[in-house]
Amino acid sequence: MFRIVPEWAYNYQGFWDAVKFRNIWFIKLRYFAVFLLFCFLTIISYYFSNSISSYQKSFILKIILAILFYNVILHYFSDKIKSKPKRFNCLHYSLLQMVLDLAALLSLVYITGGIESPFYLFFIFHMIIGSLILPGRVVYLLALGVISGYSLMAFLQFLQFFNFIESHLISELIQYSKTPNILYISYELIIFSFMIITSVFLANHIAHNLYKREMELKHALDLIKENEIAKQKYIMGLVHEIKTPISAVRTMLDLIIENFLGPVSDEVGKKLLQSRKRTNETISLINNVLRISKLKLLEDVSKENLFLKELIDNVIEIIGPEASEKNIKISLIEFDEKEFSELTGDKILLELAISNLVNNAVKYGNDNGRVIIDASRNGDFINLNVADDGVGIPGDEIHNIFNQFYRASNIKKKNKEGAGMGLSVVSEIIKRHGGEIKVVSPSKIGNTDSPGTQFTVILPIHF
Amino acid sequence: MSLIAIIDDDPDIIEATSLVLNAKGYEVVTANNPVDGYTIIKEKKPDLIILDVMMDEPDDGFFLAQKLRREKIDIPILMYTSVSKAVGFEFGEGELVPVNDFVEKPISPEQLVQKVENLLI
Repeated sequence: MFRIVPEWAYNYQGFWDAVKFRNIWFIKLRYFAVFLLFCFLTIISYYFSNSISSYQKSFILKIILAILFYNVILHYFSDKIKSKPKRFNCLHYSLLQMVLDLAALLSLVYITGGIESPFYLFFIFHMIIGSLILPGRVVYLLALGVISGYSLMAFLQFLQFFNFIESHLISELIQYSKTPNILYISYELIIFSFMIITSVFLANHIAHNLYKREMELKHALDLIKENEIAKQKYIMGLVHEIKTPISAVRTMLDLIIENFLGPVSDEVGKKLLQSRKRTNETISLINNVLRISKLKLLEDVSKENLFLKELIDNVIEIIGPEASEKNIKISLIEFDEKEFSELTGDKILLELAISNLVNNAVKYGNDNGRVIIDASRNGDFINLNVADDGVGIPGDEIHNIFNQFYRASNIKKKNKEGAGMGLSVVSEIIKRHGGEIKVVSPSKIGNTDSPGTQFTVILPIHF
Repeated sequence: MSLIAIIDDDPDIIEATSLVLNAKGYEVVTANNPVDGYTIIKEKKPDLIILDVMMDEPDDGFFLAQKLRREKIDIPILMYTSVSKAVGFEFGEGELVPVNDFVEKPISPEQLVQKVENLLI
């Protein structure tokens, strides 16, 4: 197939989307043109009936019907044209539309007075549009075709002056020159050609520069993506290396704490427990960093059918022991499982996200507190709320909490350990599912002393 | 009593795992690379293999697990990984890893004993 697609655009979806969008737009515009032409024909037939012959009328009608006919066909095939650069593709489709339109326009100009028909201005309109979307060499070829067509028209006009052939004028509407004027025809032809070439040159030049700019931007974007991948891989490698010795330390601490190496004094035991706690914190930070990096490297997340209740129950079960230590009651408000039966998403990731939210609620909750989880359907979205009556988040800091490493000031004051990575994992996972996460403090179950925090995850049902 | 082979490139993990398992009355053989690991499995025919992923080795833990399964050695394998399944670092979708269970490092003594007991039943 005749290749008219620039090479940089071969695998650039943005280019193909733009071409497809334009094709549809042209088709719609053409229906409008058919309507306008029909109005033109009707008006001229009724109000200027003497100035137009029945031959002209039927010719114009045929042109209108032809345009309508090919537009319906183009419309029908518009979504079946593929984006394959080496075969017939949507850019060829644009070119085909252009050629058909120019042929129709040439016929229209011929039947409404030749070079003196006002319709000739539409050639310039067409050539500018063509220059913006088609590559230079193709547009110059088209321009050459248009100039040749127009020259033929000029030649016919010349013959008409001497009555060699019949002329098709709309005499009442336009004042035509009565006498043969070679100079006038030549002027008209030269100026028309000049105008076409200049318009094509300028429009094509501008479009070319825009394309070049787009190509540079695309290149820069690719480079950023590549660097991001390299960066995430580096982080994963590095963090992974850090995790190995820390895991060994944790294992050794376990051995000592659990008296595999003989008894230790209470005092030492306490310090060892604290060491294990801090080590665990580091490990969970490392795991979160690994998860974020992995998520950023992931092209797409899996889509499987999810059972929301099962997912939440799993989370409650995992976090249960930690919650019982502080006597925090986690409850799930009963909901109708059927409402969420179509929910799809990545089970492991969503479980991780929900578990991070519930975990946070427990971690920053007060002793004897409550965590309430509820879900409701809102059109094509589900709203999942995790509310606690814990320390809450100060109002002016609430917009920062999804940032990596951010920890609210009131939590730091209370000496709660943590690294502030959990919520950015949640936010990344929800983003990957096309959803969003909101946070309010105080929560619906909070009070003045412990305002609490409430997270709302909004997920599209059909991810 | 059951014999358990521990194959890990981290000597501290070998030591700690051996200590816990010895304390529970299991016998233990160890190797610190997949090649030696393969040899001790062939020679000692353990009842269970605890195998680390050992990503730094040219033939990693997965390679050894696959090699064993190809040779119709179906001793249960408990695989140590340092990255969880949720992170999915090693486990590409559809990648079949012929092991009986995974455990993410660090593993606590109780967890280790529980996993080992489950696999030895």
